[in-house]
Order: sequence, then C-alpha cells, then structure tokens
Amino acid sequence: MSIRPLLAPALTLVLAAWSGAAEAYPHFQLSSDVAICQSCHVAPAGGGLLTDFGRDQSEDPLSGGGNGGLLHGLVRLPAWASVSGDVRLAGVANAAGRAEGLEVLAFPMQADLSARLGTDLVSAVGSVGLRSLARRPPVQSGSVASADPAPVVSREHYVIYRPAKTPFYVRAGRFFAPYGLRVADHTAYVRRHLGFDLEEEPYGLSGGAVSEEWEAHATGYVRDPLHAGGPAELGGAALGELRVGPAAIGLSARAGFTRLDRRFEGGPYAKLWIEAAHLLLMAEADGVYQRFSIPGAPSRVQLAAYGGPVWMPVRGLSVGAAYQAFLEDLAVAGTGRHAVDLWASYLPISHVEVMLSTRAQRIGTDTAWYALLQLHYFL
Amino acid sequence: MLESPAVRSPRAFVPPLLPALAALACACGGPDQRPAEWAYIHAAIVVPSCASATCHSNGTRAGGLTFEDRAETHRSWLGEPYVSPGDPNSAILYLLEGRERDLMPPSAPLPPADIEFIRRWIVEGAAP
Repeated sequence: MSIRPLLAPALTLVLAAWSGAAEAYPHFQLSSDVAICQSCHVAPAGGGLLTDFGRDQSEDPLSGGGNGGLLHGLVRLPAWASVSGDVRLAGVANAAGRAEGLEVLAFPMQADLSARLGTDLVSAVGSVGLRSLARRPPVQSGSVASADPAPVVSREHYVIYRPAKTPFYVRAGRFFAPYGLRVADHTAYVRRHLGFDLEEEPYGLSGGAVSEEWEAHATGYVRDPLHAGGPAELGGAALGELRVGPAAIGLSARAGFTRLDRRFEGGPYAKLWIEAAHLLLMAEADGVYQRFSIPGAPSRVQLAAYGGPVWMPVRGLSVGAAYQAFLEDLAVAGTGRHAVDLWASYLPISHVEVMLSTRAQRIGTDTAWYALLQLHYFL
Repeated sequence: MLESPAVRSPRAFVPPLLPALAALACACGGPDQRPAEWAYIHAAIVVPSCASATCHSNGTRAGGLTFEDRAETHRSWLGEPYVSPGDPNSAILYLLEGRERDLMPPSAPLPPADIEFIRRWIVEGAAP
C-alpha cells in the first residue's frame, strides 16, 4: 500500500521535534563568575529569562563582548519589569534509523517573548512563543476530528515569592520541576525520556532555598493532559545540590502517578570545573522504576545517562562532547539507545550565538545521526 | 489475556538506581518476554514515544491523530489502516522502520526490538 500520504505528518514531526524553548546553558555554572543559577536567571533553578546580572555576564565573560542589555542597551526598563525574547533559525541534516536518504531542512526553530513584572519580593514571570512554524500536514482520512493546535503557547508562567534576606522562595504556575543537570537540549535522553521534553511543563507548586554552598527544591505538580501530552499526572520532584569549590554534586528524584502507570525516577549528577584546562566535566545518571496499571503487566526498570566535557578555550566559544544512553527496559535485549554528541557554540557578541551540534545514535542494532545548525538571537 | 497480578514483593520498591547502574555496566538484557497485548504496547511504547506534547497528543493531534487514548488509538491504527491484523508488513511497520524515508518517530526511532514486539502483536491478530 502507498504510504505517501503519511510523509507530510512525518516532516511536521521532524520540525516540531527540533523546535526550541529558552533554556539555560548548564556549562556556564562554575565556569563563569557565579555558581548559582538564579544569579543569572530569574527562575530559582535556572533557565529562561535573564537577570540584569545575567545580561552583564552575557557580555563578559560569556561572549566576545558587546552590550548585554535589552536591545543592546538601547532600552532601559524600570526595576519592576524585565523583557526578553529569543529567535532561532535552524538547519538540519537528518539520517534517522533505517530511513533511506538524507533529509535536509531549514526552519524557524524558536520565536519566544518572555517578561517579568514585580518586585524583588513578588513577581510574575511568563513567556509566549510560536508553537510550531512547521508546515501544516493534511489530516488523515478517517482520523478523528482535528482541532488546530493553538499557534502560540506559553511554556512557562508563574508567580514567585522570595522573602527578603532569606534564601527561600515559593513559586506556583507552569514550569519544569528542577531536576538533574537541566541541559538545554530537550532531545537529550535525560530530558526526552524522563518527562522533560518540549512543552511538557506541568503546573506545580514549588518551594526551596538557594545559597552559595547549596540549594534544594521540592515541587508538587499536575501534568496538564491538554498541553503536556500523555495522561494527566500527579507527582512530586525534589533536587538537592551541594557546591564545594569548583565542583557541584546533586541528587534528584521524581515520582509520577497516572492512570497508566506509577513511575519513580532518580539519580545523581555532578559538575567539575578544571580552571587550568578551561574544562567543565558534567554527568547525570537516572534510574527509573515503572509499574503499569495493567493487570499482569510486567514492571520495568530503565536507565538514562548523560556525561561529557565542555571546553571553553576563549571567551564566547564552548566545545562539548557527551555520551548518552537510554535503556528502555533492562530486562529486554535490544531496547537500548546510545548516542555521542559533538557540539560547538560561539557567541561573538552578546545576543548572538551560532551553534553546530551533531548526534550519532545507536538504537538497538540501527544507527542514526543528524547535524543541526542554529542561529540564535536574544533581545 | 494477561495473567492476574502477582503478589507485590517489597523488593519491587528497591531504589532503582543500583540495579540500573549494574545493568548499564553489562548492557545486557534477555529475550523479549513482554506480553504482546495492546494495553501494554500502548502504555509502554505508544504513549511515551508517540503521544508527546508536540506530536500525537490530544493538544497537537499531528496529522489529525491522537494516540493518548488506548481504544481510540487502536481504532485509528486499524481504521486507516496502519495495521492489518495478521499482516507482518502492515503500514505502521513501514513507518516505524522508515523503509520509505518517513520514519516515525522522526528524530527518535524505536529500537528494533520494540518494532518486532509490535509486529508480533499484529501477526497474532492485533487484538484491542
């Protein structure tokens, strides 16, 4: 039978799979002037909107220079407001699995606006972005009625309360629970397969404390089935991180309960900055125990791992490599996937980034690879 | 049909990290003894691999298809038909294997063991 009608949805999914969101770059922790994510980011565990100090860091030492302020310093906002935005254009060459040939695509990857309104004590933070700029596939004949997905999405919106002169915070809204290394690439196995993929942000209530030497976060969440995909989920997550000199070690855990399963995951992560070599080493390993709500169905144990070095030889340039693994079911041979990532990111000036990343994957007995070029500009 | 649930052993709740790390060290795994039942395939493979937020979720419905509900997914797979019961060359397998380039899922292909697992279910009748 012909499967040509299915080509367009496939292409759309390729593009959707690569569309992005504003994220933190975890290799900047320890390697820059600060060890605390919230020094540079409004969010207590990093990611997304930058603080004024974060914008300063984006000038020096994290890029070649320039003015990190809003619109290169042309606009100054009052202290109760922050605005930023991210635009990414991307090109990808994809040779996936047993597919024949090479797909070469260029597409708008990200167009987000984010803002904060409030004081040091209480503020509201939110982002709005285009959900997908991929071409729209035809609806399959005989399929269920299709409701157009909203063209814009708010992946994050929350209110945060930080009592003055304390390390504590409370926030409520839509955001990812702090967990693991929080790598920027949502297709990294420790994100994609652990519930931190694109647009999977749940609604939650989170509290924690952040200090120079340590931080801790605890989150209760409800996963919204209308926006986050998969069944509604009720869960909780916790993260603790300890920083000693040029090293940070952490432990994360998460439990989620749906009508389909109960899932428990957790594991350690670590970072080590070697100043003499301008090298950051980071690694994360998570075990997952999943029990299905199906009579007689076997439970399964999974493993996700990520680790590798990031070399930052000069201002603005980061070169990284990582090994990744996701073993979907440790009891079944041939269900694992392994990958090697190589990437380079260059910020010639603040606001501008060029990034090339490649991934070679071994999935069961098959191989796949892709190369992705991103041009990133933030306001 | 699947068997009745066994009595739960306390060992089932041992923190998963240690056995997971041990398994990574040997990267082992045995023959596939998973039950070729739709309920299990849907929960263990289809939902986490296909019903993600940006693909076949209720919110996105890529191509007009949502794979979140077990019965609805079965109906759509057999109705298209992506799945022809008993046919080891059903269209869904062409997609999962990317035999004509349009691989599904596009950037995160299923391991061959999972594809063979779905093929076994189809060959055995693709019962809901």
